[in-house]
Amino acid sequence: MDAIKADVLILGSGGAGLFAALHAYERNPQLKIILATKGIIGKGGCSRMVQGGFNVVLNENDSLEKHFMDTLKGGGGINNQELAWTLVNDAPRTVHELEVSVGCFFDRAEDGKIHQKAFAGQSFDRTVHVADLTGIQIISRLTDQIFARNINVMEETRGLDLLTTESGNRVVGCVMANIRTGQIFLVHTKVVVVATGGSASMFKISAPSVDKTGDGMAMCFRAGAEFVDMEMVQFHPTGIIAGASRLSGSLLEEGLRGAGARLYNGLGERFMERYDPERLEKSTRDRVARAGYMEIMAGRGTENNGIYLDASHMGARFVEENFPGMVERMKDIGKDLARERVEITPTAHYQMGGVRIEKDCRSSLEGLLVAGEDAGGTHGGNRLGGNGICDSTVFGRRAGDIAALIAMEESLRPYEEAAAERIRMRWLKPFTLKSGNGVYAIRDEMKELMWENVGLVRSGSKMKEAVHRLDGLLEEVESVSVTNRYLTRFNMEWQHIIDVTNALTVSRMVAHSALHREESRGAHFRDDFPETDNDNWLVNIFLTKEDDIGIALSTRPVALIRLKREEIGDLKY
Amino acid sequence: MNAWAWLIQRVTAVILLGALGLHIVFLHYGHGHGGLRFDDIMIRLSSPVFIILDLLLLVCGLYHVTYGLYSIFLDFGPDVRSRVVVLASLVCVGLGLMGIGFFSLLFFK
Amino acid sequence: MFETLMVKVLRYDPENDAEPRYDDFEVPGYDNMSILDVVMHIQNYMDKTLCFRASCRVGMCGSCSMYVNGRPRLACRTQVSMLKTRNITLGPLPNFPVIRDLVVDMELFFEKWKRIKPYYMGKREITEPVVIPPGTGEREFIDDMLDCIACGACYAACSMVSMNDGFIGPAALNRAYTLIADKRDRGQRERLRVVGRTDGVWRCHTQFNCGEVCPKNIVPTRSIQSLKKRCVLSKFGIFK
Repeated sequence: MDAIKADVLILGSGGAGLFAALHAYERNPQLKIILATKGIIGKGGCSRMVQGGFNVVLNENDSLEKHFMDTLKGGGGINNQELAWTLVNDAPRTVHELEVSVGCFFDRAEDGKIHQKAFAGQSFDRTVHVADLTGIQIISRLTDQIFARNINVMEETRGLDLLTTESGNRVVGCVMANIRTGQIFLVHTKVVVVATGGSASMFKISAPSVDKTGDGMAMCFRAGAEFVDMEMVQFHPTGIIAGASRLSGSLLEEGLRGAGARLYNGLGERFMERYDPERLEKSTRDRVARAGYMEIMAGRGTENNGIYLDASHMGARFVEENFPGMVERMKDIGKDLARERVEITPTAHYQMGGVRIEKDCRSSLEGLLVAGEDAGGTHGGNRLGGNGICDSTVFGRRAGDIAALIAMEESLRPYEEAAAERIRMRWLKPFTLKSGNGVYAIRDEMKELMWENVGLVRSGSKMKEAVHRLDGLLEEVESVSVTNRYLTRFNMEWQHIIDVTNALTVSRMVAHSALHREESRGAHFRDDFPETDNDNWLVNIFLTKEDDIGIALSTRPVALIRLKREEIGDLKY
Repeated sequence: MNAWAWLIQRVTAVILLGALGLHIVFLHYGHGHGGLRFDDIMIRLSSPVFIILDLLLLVCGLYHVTYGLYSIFLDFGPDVRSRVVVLASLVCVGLGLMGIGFFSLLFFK
Repeated sequence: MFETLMVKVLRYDPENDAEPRYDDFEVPGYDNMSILDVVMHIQNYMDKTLCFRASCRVGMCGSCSMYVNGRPRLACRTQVSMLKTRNITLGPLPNFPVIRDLVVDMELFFEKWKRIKPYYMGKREITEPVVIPPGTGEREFIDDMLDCIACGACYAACSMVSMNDGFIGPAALNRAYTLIADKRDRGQRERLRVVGRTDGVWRCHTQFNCGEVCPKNIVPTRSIQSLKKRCVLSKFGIFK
């Protein structure tokens, strides 16, 4: 197998991957840095899709403590406090770097300083933005900076599996596939930064881009890394309903609720009065999403199985000026967001859980750093809107810095050619098999299963069913073949087989972890354990691979380094 | 070079707007009888005003046409060699025509 | 809403096919169906060998641009109902070499993008985010032009590009404008030199094809005209 040597290999070109590459280069421009992405650089993933904005403490009336407390309250108290503190602490310098070095130009307030808008679940208006299309600006400008530097960009190149040393405790490279040519090769490197995002697309109704299928998470799982909080999946309350179109599930940003938009059920009731009378629609995402879901399940939904969002009372011009992207997209499906109510649905959006990392992005495996959505712990049980792009960029920077340091200290470790071959043969199986169910049926079943059984309202019996069926689906996808065995160039069907295998791998982790947590907290809600139990469950659930595909779970109490036990109990969430 | 050439194109365009306009007017009016006769032209071309107007028309018109043709030629993305050959040819032809024009205007008898 | 769509898709694998061909598909239509839904349906359920690019599906990444009924469009932002016909013809973007089927090679497009030095180079004295009250005009129309998602539609529609693929093209020139006009940036002169070459701004003859097809309602012609002005002014030593 062809092997390319590198000092640093970064998988993913979202906020985390791009920043990691820039920072690693800054540390040492002599390093050979490879930035590999499944799509065209800067276009894939969800950082780009960020509408709302970036939470950051810039105003003297705001404080890091307030942002930290908001993050912990939102997270249901099980956040990794060290990571959460790092998040809020590094955010100001990250935004500073984005403006002054990277060249972003965030919207300005009347006084000419950076404008910060209101976002749900926060004690201060601290969300920095560019109209309602913040992600495009951040990612485009970061991508342009990549072009200024001698960083090897490999587009339409995906990681298949990580290569580890024989003892398995260190990552030494990655077997990759060139999507355009179909060629499989490996990158022999000193450190790998995984920044490929999550896999919320494993649910029937979901917000992420279609290429987000948990590739990085699945690779880290197969390599033996430790995961945390996998049961925590965020469902965003306001996803678009567009019938059978793929547009369904995409987001109407949180800023709408932050600015005062209201939600009504099919009967015209403002149902949030029953679920969070204090904050109503400005409550945290988990509450609003679950409330919407429960209204729909109780038969009080709209005719398309949704609920209504009404922004019209804020004035058509206000909506059109502040949310132009959304107004336009709704026009595509014949709706006027500025003047009428629109039907929406909760939609799977983000994974709070992921690979367990330290604040320098180191995982449980040597030579493996993880940054962004695929890392877990920062957001605990629920992420605040605006903290996501903050997370990717903050930890992407750190990962880049640390990756460079590691690359400068370490030398290449040998890899096992046979192991690399095994990986290659495994992923080429669809070309050798003669028959097997189409992958799309498996994908569709996974989405349905996850939505029904591991979704917004969970129960022990349904989750057990899911755990069992997911194992079956994973087995099925292992024996799926491609229709045209001679087509290696840009074979989308092959790519989808890999995608679905990875998504199923992540789904299993979510289901196992969710079954284990016998309480409700943050985004994880069970109707057989509807209360939050701080006496027994102020813990994080950790997960690793056991044997070939088994899953081992353990719990550890939340490390109370900044907030004491009593203070957590007081957190109203 | 490109910027200057483009600027002069715009400047000659404005001048031509005026000069061509006047030229057309003078072709049809200002001589009273049915059509321009040789005598009329003799009179006109002994006056500096007309000579300057015609020179302006000549120089600006030739420049504008030459640059216009060359620009369209460049739109096809020719290689350096072709560019040199075509530009040289256009300039030669242009200068030649300009010479003839000058000669006609200034030594008209 | 049409019940069945008659879809023709251009199929071509330069390495294996002697020439391109159109494949016909009868696709069941539904409300709110976009062209992206159409190709996904074809690829998932009718001909798994079809290939195309897609990512965000909401018009933010620019991956799914293709030739739809004779116009470069984003597949995800083109509703079938918008086309007002059940006959749909899909092909790869013009002015780009084809990799396979609807996937085109964007290498030259991005090479030109990189040529104009698309990365911000802040003036050294700027150490804090600049204070610019809205409405002062200091940002000209840069912020509208920054909406560009590098989808390639303008480049595909440009007749100057089709005659001469040496022309830098509307997308790169538009990006160049956003930096050249940005008071915070220090690379104005070097960029003006790049765009002021024969294959730069001067090849634009204000046909406005780009503005007509841009999914973000950007009109690169506007930026290019501004750059022409700036190129001329720079000859007089004036750098705005």
